[in-house]
Amino acid sequence: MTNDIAEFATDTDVFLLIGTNTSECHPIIAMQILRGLERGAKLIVIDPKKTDMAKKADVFIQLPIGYNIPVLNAMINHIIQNDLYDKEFVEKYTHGFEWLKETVKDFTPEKIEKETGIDKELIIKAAEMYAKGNPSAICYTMGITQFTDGTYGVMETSNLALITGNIGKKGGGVNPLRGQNNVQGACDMGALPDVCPGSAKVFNPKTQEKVLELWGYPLNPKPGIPLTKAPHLMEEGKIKFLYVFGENPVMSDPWTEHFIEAVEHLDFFVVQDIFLTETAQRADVVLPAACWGEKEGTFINTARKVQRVRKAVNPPANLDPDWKVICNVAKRMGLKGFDYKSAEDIWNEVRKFDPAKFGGISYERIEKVGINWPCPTEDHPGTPYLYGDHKSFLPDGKFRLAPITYTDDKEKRIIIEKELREKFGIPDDYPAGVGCPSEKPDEVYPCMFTTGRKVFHYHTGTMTRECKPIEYGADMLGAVIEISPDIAEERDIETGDYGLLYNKRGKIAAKVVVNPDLRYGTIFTTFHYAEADGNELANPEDLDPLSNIPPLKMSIANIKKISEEEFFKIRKEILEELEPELAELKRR
Amino acid sequence: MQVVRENKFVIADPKTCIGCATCMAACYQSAYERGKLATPRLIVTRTEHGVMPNQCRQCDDAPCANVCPVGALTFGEDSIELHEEICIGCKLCTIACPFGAIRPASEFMPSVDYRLEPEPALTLESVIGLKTIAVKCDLCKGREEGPACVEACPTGALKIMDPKNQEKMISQKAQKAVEKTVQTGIAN
Repeated sequence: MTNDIAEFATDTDVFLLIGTNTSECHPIIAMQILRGLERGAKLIVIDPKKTDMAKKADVFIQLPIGYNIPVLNAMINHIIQNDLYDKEFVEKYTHGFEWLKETVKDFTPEKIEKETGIDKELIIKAAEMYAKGNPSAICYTMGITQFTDGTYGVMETSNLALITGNIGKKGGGVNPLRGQNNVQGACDMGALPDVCPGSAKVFNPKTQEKVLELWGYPLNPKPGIPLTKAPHLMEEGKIKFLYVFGENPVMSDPWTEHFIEAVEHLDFFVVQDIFLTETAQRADVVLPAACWGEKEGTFINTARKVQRVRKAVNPPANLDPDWKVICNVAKRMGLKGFDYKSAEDIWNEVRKFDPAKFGGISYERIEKVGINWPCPTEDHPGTPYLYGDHKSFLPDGKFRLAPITYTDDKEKRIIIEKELREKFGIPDDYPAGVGCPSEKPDEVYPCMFTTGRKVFHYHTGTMTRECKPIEYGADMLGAVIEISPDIAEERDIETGDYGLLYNKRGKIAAKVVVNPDLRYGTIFTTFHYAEADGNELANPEDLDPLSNIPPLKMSIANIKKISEEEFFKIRKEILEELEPELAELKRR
Repeated sequence: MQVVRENKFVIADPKTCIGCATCMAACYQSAYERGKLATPRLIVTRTEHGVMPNQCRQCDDAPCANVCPVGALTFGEDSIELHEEICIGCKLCTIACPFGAIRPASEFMPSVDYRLEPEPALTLESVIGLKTIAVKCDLCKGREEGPACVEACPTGALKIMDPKNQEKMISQKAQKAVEKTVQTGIAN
């Protein structure tokens, strides 16, 4: 996030939530937004599902799945055409305004209405409301990113914030709400294929110098493999060893069946987790570790705030925290430099590695309240909102407006991008691109299918499903498939019937709930439940060309009604495949 | 002067509710700890325009208690009380309740790991040997701190309405309304 969460309650004038079910997936952030609304702030929600936040919104645009770019372009177009943009900001601090202006020209609210049935007045109202807000904040999550054009969707949110001058303002900004307490932290620590701590690229000579100086090892300048490409490489035998920490890829990766098949090809498979997850059941070795309440350390939250966590209880059987397990493995391998005494030791090394961001954040200073990076020195107060000086992180200090257009045909994507670049003379290293849908409904699979979270469960349910008040208390329904009323009517399905949801990649069976909050032709389910995991149907191909993220939020599928008997049969098959250890126990 | 007996009740404010269902988890835990049937007594309900938990309003002339054939539902001191051990599971109360706040339910046996059963337990109804009874909000009777849901609600959307503070609230509102009329009357 460019801004801090607390600013939502105190400073934000207009909220634009796009592709986020904030109250279900980020209840704490939703609380701050609600405080803002109570203060008189306005709320715009853009989502295929009429979420609880949408029900509280001043403007709600129910767009088709994966149609973010045209809608955002139409808003940008309306703002530019009606002179609602911040001319001073655009002129002084940005590049490429003319390119953007010309690119979005075709995207009129009228065109959007013609293509999708969204009332053009809604788009105009949203655009005007956002442009007039002082400041306006954009929040987004996976409803923007997990598409084949996810990165371009993110660039569009940045365009919108830049032309209205909402960057570098308290309460404004572009705010990706991270999915976990420590995603920001994991990325900052270099848990990505191509970076070291502090987002320093591995192929950068400066990074290599630093690594050699600090750790005494030469750094491989070749970026690693993104997770989404790993299953293919495992099949080809190019990855022979896999070590999974606290993740459950059997359930969280798209096209579950493929991943399960791929791990069979590994020579050795290690899982480190606190429970015997679906993934751990397939491992050669499972290493236990202390859980979040049983260890010391820091988390970096979505607002870049470094926060201390403290041990509440002792881990069972004197288990070690994850860092210690890794150090022990490294020592057994004969590696030097893993003699840390505590989590604080490691943090102090991080401060040395990237002093510009973390240099001033000592354990003493975050004893009670966290500090947002960048914080270079001990007397620096931290940076709750970025770009206060209107300077970007780019060498010339200017922000770039990225011209993004849209096509219905993904095959034409590369040609259109080429045309776009040639038309305006955009250099190759300047961000510009073409959005497109990864799959379109056809005769066999006429419904759009997307996944999401339920408020009471966390991801693949590894932890929350072990908690009885949550599993039996808050979550009374269990795994369900939600369908829009038109799909239900066409197939004569009622709430409470059993349904089989299927596409070319997989199938799941569950009870059906007819949900009028969904846009027509849409099916929704979660990825919390091993017995009915929406990711079995998700698309692992059509990766985003820039970030390699698969279009997890957009697939095509079909649904049919099944009898209770059939349902039992399918459920049993799925469970046996997914939980081999459990199935083995049952047979005994 | 006529003495009026009024029940307490828990109610949510849909404006502040974010539908997080923490109340349901707290409710389950409270019921479990007090030895009651472990299932939530309030259900977060989504409608076209919003979301909030729905639970028993503890009606003073409660239709559920009036129809109960065995006296499992009785008029208590400050609420409608349900005696779980007497309930025969006839479900008449669920028909009588105008709020849909009372429902038949049963619970999993804590000692059985249903995942290891030969047939996976999908819903409680499919498990043989469970008795179904009516469940409704009992204001966490026996819990010193009062209703667990009110305590757990992170946004303060859930409130307990006491006859005493209700009187105060009504008179405050009346004062305000009269004051407004009087003032506008003078202005005219």
